[in-house]
Amino acid sequence: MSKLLSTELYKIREKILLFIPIMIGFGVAMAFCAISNSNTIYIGVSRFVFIFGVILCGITGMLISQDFAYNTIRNKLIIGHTRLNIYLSYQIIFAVFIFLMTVIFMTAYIVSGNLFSYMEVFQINQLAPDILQIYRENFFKALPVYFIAMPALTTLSVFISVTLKNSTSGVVTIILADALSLFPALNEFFPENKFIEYINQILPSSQIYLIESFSAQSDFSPVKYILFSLVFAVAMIALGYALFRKADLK
Amino acid sequence: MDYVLKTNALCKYYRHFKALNGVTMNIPKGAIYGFVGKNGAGKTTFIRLICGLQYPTSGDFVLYGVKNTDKAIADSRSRMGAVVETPSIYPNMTAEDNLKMQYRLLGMPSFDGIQELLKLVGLENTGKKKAKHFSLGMKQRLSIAIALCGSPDFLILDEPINGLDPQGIIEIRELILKLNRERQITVLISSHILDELSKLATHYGFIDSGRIVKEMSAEELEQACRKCIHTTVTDTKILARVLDGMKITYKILDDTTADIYAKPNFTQLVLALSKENCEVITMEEHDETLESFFVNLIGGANHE
Repeated sequence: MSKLLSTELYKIREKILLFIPIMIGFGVAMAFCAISNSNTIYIGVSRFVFIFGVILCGITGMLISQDFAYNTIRNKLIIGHTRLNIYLSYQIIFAVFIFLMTVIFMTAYIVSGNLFSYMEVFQINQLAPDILQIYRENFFKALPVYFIAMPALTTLSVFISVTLKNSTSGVVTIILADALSLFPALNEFFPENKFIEYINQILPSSQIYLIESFSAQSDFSPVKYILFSLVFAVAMIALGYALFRKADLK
Repeated sequence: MDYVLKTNALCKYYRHFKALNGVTMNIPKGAIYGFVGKNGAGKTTFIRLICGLQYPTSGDFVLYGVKNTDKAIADSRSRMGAVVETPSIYPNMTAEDNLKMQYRLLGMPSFDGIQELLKLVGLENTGKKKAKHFSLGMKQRLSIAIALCGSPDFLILDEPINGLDPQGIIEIRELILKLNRERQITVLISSHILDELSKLATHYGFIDSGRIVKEMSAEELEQACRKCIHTTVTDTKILARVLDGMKITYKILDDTTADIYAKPNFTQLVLALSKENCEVITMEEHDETLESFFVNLIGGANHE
């Protein structure tokens, strides 16, 4: 397993170096937008996180599909690496990649946002201190949910990549992840519908999209959402591996 | 005899299509095994099963004494290198980086052997040129270099000379011979270019419609393709006695037929046989090439 992880890490090393400044820039830009629109960085970030989550998942799918497009997956199987280890190596390396990118984004977002506040560039902090405090608490309650939901979303891209086994995986992942944003939209039209509410609580994509509103609820518990994300991830990995285990490769 | 690979009634079905239909073959250690069959005969499917890219529908195989259903098959596969169909390389990497990737996959402690491997396959001067800019021959050689990472004992090459120019074919041939002679690597090489295989192989397996039609050594094949006069007489015991007297090599096939491996004086031979009351019924010159042998074999199989 360590050999596979080391190889995958080597393959994406350039992508990591490329995405670190992008994530920092993205975080600073989002903080700038949040402060100029709402005078605080502690609201209005979730949908942007969802968008870059979808993009990163697409990139994940694209990178994994290269192994199938170039047939380099053969080199792993021929020398005796098991399909389980190959599947898990994809999953681990890309979950860590997206977790790292989320941490970098959020750090850049919080640090730069607070820096803008401190510098009083936008005449901020006009909100009442007690309201700002509620926003801040909700934001920090939502933060662990982001950090788990984002890597959990990669299970979808790994699943699609090893199932399709071709270079379209990246695009299909983006389309599917975007399609999943239908559920948060339905929530706005049918706020009383329990089924849609449950689906939105379970799907990591919906959690990312709606977590700001969920976290404003008085009975909000991040543990529940984290558990749902983990269950989603385990289910996707189990299903993906079950299909990959017996798949005929060329 | 030690065998690197033994298969037992391997079958692979794609829905109702039988790609492999009970393939049983044995590859001796140290051999260059020529796997011969026309396009679609099942060569690549067989190789995919051995490499673990696909699973057999039924049947099994033993690689280095380990059955394919055992968990230890992964360890046996680590002693193997393979090039299946198209080259499996990262096009955006250099030849050296491609080899480094394979070294990482194998968990090799250092990259020390990479330059030697590049030299062995003649890619030592490619520098920073990316693999996507390589010619087909260079890509094939890089694939072989990747397969050779970790010093395997068993090398599987699926149609390695397809699309190569004559110079490239000679280079690959010499490389395979060198690997077999100097490193004692057992090689399974599939091809439908028989003339080329005949310059390499020590053993042959002929496959048609997913079945092994015949397995034989190069000596046996040479014998089968040797120029001879196929003779039918009333009594081959008398023929043998006469030919011994004339110091001519021959092979008795049954009570009435024999192959004579020389050009005797026919008048003297017929007169000598006549004296012993043995009649010559027919005499046919038999000069079979590897191609015609293969065609006859497949034709024969199709008639069955």
